[in-house]
Amino acid sequence: MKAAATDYLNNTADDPTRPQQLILGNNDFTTITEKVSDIVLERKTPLAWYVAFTFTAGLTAILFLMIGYLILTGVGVWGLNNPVGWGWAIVNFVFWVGIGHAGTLISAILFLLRQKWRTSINRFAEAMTIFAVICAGIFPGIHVGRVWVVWWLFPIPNFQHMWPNFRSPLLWDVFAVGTYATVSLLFWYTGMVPDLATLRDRAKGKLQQIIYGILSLGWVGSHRHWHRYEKAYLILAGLATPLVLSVHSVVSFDFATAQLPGWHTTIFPPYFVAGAVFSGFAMVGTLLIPARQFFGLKEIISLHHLENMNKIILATGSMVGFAYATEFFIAWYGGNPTEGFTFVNRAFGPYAWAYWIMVTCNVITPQLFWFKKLRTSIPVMWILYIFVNIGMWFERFVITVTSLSRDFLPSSWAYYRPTIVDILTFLGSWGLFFTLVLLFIRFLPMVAMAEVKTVMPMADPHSGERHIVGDYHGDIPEEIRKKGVK
Amino acid sequence: MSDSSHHGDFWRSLSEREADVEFTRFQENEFPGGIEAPDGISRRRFLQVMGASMALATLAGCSWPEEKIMPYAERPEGTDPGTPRQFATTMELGPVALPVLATSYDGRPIKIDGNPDIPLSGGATNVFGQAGVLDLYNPDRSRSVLRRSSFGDDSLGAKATWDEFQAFARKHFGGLAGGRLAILTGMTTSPAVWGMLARLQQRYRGARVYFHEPVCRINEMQGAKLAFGTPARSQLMVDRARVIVDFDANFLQDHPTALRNSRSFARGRRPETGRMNRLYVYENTFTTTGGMADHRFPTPASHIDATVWALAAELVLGQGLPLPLGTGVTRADLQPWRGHAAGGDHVAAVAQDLMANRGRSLLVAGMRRPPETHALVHTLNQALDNVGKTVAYLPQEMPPLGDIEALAGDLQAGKVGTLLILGGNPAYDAPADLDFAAALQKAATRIHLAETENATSRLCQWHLPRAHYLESWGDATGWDGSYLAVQPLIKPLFGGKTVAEVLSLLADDKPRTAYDITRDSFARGAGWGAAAPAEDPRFEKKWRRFIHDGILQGSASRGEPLALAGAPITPPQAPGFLDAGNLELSIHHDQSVYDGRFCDNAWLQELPDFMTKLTWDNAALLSPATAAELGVAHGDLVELQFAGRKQEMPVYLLPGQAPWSVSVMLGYGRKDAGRVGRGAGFNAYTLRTTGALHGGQGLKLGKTGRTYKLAVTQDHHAMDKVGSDEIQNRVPGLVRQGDLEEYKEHPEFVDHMGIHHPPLESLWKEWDYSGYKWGMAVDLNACNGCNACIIGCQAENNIPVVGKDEVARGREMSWIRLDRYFLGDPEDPECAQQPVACAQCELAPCEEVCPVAATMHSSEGLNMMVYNRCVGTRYCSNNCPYKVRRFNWFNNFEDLTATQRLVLNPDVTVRARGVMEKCTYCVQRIEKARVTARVENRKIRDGDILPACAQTCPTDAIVFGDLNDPASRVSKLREVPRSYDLLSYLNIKPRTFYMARIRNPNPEIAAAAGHGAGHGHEGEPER
Repeated sequence: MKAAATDYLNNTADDPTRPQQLILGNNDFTTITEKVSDIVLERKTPLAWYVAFTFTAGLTAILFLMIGYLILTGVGVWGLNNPVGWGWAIVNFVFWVGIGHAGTLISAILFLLRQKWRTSINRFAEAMTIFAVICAGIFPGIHVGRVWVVWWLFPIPNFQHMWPNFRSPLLWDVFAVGTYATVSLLFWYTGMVPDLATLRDRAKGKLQQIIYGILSLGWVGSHRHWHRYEKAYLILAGLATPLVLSVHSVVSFDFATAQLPGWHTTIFPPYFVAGAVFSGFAMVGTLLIPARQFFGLKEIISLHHLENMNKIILATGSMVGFAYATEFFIAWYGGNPTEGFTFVNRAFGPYAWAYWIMVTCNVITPQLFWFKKLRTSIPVMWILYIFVNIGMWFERFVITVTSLSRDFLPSSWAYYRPTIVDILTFLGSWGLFFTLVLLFIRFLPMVAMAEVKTVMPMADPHSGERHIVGDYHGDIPEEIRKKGVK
Repeated sequence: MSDSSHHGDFWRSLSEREADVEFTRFQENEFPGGIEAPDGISRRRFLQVMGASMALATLAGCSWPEEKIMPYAERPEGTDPGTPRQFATTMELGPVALPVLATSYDGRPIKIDGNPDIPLSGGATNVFGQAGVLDLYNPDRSRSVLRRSSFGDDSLGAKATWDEFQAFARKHFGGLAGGRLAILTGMTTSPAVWGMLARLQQRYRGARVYFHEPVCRINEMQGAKLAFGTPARSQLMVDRARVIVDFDANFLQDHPTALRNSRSFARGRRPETGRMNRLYVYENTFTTTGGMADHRFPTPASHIDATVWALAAELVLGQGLPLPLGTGVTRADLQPWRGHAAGGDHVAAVAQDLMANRGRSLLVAGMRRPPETHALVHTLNQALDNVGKTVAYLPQEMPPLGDIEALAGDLQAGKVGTLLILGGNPAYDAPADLDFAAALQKAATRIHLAETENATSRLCQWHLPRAHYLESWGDATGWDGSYLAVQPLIKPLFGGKTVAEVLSLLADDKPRTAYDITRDSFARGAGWGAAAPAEDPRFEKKWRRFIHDGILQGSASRGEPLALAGAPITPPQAPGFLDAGNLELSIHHDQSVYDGRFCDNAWLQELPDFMTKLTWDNAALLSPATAAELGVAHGDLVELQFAGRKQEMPVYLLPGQAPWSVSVMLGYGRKDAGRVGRGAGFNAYTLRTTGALHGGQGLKLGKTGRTYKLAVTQDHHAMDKVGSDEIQNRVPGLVRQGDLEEYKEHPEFVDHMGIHHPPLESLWKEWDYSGYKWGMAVDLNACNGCNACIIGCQAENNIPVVGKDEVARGREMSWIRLDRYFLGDPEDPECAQQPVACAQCELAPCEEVCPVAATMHSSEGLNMMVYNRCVGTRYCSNNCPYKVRRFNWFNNFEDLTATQRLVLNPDVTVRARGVMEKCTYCVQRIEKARVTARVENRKIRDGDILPACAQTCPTDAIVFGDLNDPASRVSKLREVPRSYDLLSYLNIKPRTFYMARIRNPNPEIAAAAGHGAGHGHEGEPER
């Protein structure tokens, strides 16, 4: 019985004659709405949620304590030193910004490419984007020596009558990340409006009705509303699509336009984007697997969805591996001995341990996804997601720190070590991230109900006649029609 | 005391006001000055600091006499508020007097420089001279007379006054039998002090004077006495020597005329002028002189005496050099040393070189070598016809003094009733076997004059605060016999008195001021009579000239040849064989804290040692191979066992250290130190005994299994292979060196070193420099790495001290640093050194990346840091290929006491927390010169601007000027073929350029050793 029960959840068969269902089980519009909105409105918040929330909120408190200590004392509380002027703060910044990319890619690019499977996971991925960008945004703000004048980076009138330096990539960063955060937030919110209205309509508490009422902007589901909504969504998807490529390209310019060996390479923009998508998908997966488990969403976020994500991880992980190899090749082929040394030093110098962690987690282990069995195994994929998260953090560490720690003049070489403040700040940013995720799960619809419904058979005007799921155009043999899912 | 000091009254009041402020700060501030950042503070250190604060609070709590500060009703003649003035004075360091110019800013001494008019300095200073000003503002200087009834490390004295001391002295000394009085003094060169000592001895017949100087030059004197029959000071004329052999002398750093030696050595080593000397160095540890050597032979210190004899034997018996008349050495004495292993592999080649350069060579032995070796070196200089040409002598009477060993004996024998200690800290730095702290207490009455309350003070009934030399009137005698002036720039901040004044207090019925004593001494020194005449305009004129110049004109001497006196010179014992069970202990004074007297000087504590780059600590220096044999690693804490004494010390692996030789530095581990020096390093005096002042054989090294964190500013030898191989690859292109022959054949050889690149173009429009175009030349052939520029820059530019933990984390702040690399065999490496500061790139990578435009380009090419615009992203530092930018990780000035703040230069911004800083080419000096030039309606002339580093450089290795002026020195140096840009392939166009170092190896030795590989064209990295 049990085997059969899980079997119906496996929709990963590669049979071209049997198109895959995206939503499994006996779900219709009502069950979808109930399953998703009940998490927020009806079901009792599980004890585990409170335990987790207490823990993550505690970590968040540590984050803000560390930031307070930092601001009161000085950047010296971190482990930075003279050659290594950027350490964990910048590593964390790039890491978190990278995480955000999966959300935008799933929402925008896959939307434009009409990848219907995206509908089950896009809300979650977008939320993750917002939270990751919030975590990322903290670091460049606090890593400067004088936090209280960090607003000088913005081109706003000031008493010094000065513009910022438009030649500096850090300034480009301000614009790129600012735009990204804004567009992502708008995109996420716009997409959520119909679902917020559903929550408003189903809410029983007065407060919930008021808050969801305000948030749903008076949505009544009229044709006009749907028309405007879909136009707006399309436009925002169009706006967000170039941002997927631009943000991490600009972040990579921080490094690529510097002349430091190990930073100064033209491969960085595509390499950073691939790495960002790679890490972002891994993070989405890391969160989705427990979420679908705990909140009974296995029919909506199916194995097929996860397998698709794993294929993207395999593809982008291989791109990243290719980029690593290219870097080495160019360091040799370019004939610049200083650059050549930087890469030899990465692999065999004092930070070799970090380098090999990075290579193992980013290049070697994702290759296991070539095997379908592993690609569709929940425990395996979750462990590999964790590996990718670790590996991608180390990638940023390797790029930032190893290059700085041994640059042109050997006299200034030095080893960088984080302090406890560095470590607690980073852990604290995880606390903030998970706190926001937990709040999101608890108070907002974690699956885009309205969008999921569009890929269900009932969305097809002819569904009642054909009983066929997932096919809108084809000629389906009679026997299959008869066996079709009800 | 200072009737003619213009500033006295004004400052006295303010200083005392500062003291009050400081007391308040102590109560408020948990971490008073000189202490590392809070995260680096251990509980023990915290308690110490709190203890110090409490003690000081107690002291400061007693009332200060109140005086009101009043503005000048009339401005004293010659003072312009805000205009610094300079006074010639003299700093004494043991028996060495260094003439300096002290800069006073509104009555506040802030900077010490060399006195350019006096050849002993020539405008240069050493690190001690530069840093001496900080001692004036040491917050732990003693602030009053203290009386004690209980003794020991923790004993607190009761505050007393000079009047009380005087009342005591009148009573006590009134009925004193001279025979029971002993006086212990340092080896001062001041005729005024000697005069007062004589006077005291007259008054108390039978009073005995002893001297103690931990870094003692008595061997040189006794060596001269053995050779010539009279003690004498050697006067080296290094520039005239073509071949120089240095036996453990470190004559560029440790010799009494080291500054003059450095300058003339550099002058004798400019390939463009056709003069190129050759330097051989025999030494056990790597010194600056060893770093400059064409051939350095790492030789255990206990073998060096034998080396001199082996060289003498080779010269006389092997090469037929006739022994001079009157020598105390016979051919038979030399016979056993012929071909002795201690001579090393190349003794014949060195001897040949000396023979070929008779009359143009120079041999020097160091102060640690015994008198016999000095006498032999004098003989060899005579035999090689060098006397009168490269070396001369200045006979010097030695006063008949007892040494500390004699004093300890007399104390133990109960012969001393009253002991007067004039300066110093014998309880800490006397030879350990004397147990001086115990012996001292045999004297019933003990009086100690010192600048700080140290271990010796805590064993004496009376502690008297001593005036700093910048607060003192006095005189001194230079190594060349010149008569030098010491004059105050400020009234004693804490009521200290000079040695002469204290002696007068005891010797005169009516105590005289140091001013009067000095004038009398001057009258004698200038041949005027026994005392200064009351009113004699001619004397006044001469006195004023003396004070103005800082020297009695015509008093310096070039020395004279002396005839050998024929006393037999005993050859040394054949040196023992060294191995793991019989190591050699070699004791040196430290190049930062000297004998320990500068241990409270934060600038010097944080100054990286030239070779080891070690700060805030000393260590046992071992060669890598010796350490490997002994199974110890860098940073291991080991126990040194020598002659029954033990001392723990961390291991430092120093390439080029002689095999089986362990060098330790004196001056650390002072438990009695103030806030700055406490806890810094390990006390090597515990291993020092009267029989082995400089160490000897028989050292054993035991492991403790513990390690110790050493704060070095540059990676030490114990580095991974990838890194150390790359250093060997890369450094020849960075610190370019060539051999003289190669340079003659291919003058452009430097252009073929480093990374080759096609013609480069800038992405940006390049700047146009129509006015001045500042640039700097750094001559690697002249720089010997004396470190003076680092402290000079620190004093000029208000560069903060950050403490050991911060240095260990790589956060030292110095704007100019000395990069030091070892090339080749770690047991016998070459040393390449390079001063690096901001090169003011024309296409500066830092300027591109600053998001707020806080670092900008000036029309004259300065790369300017706008501190108040900086937000502290540190991007500029990341993008700086030289890594010369320094970031203020904390508020580095927060912990400074009010007294410490007095040393800050008001012309230079004190940088806030969170901003970047770096070398500015001393922009404040450029602007000052611009103002002067504008007032005089002219252009700035070459030489008007001397950045602090260039000003203090004894070898003129740093030259600054206008590159747009083809006649300027720096422009001319730019045209010299061996000039090159560091990292030119980055197309950053640095304004500071380097001049390649040219070596002059002996072709025979070079051929034998395969020397020369890795130079020149082969220096290019091979990837």
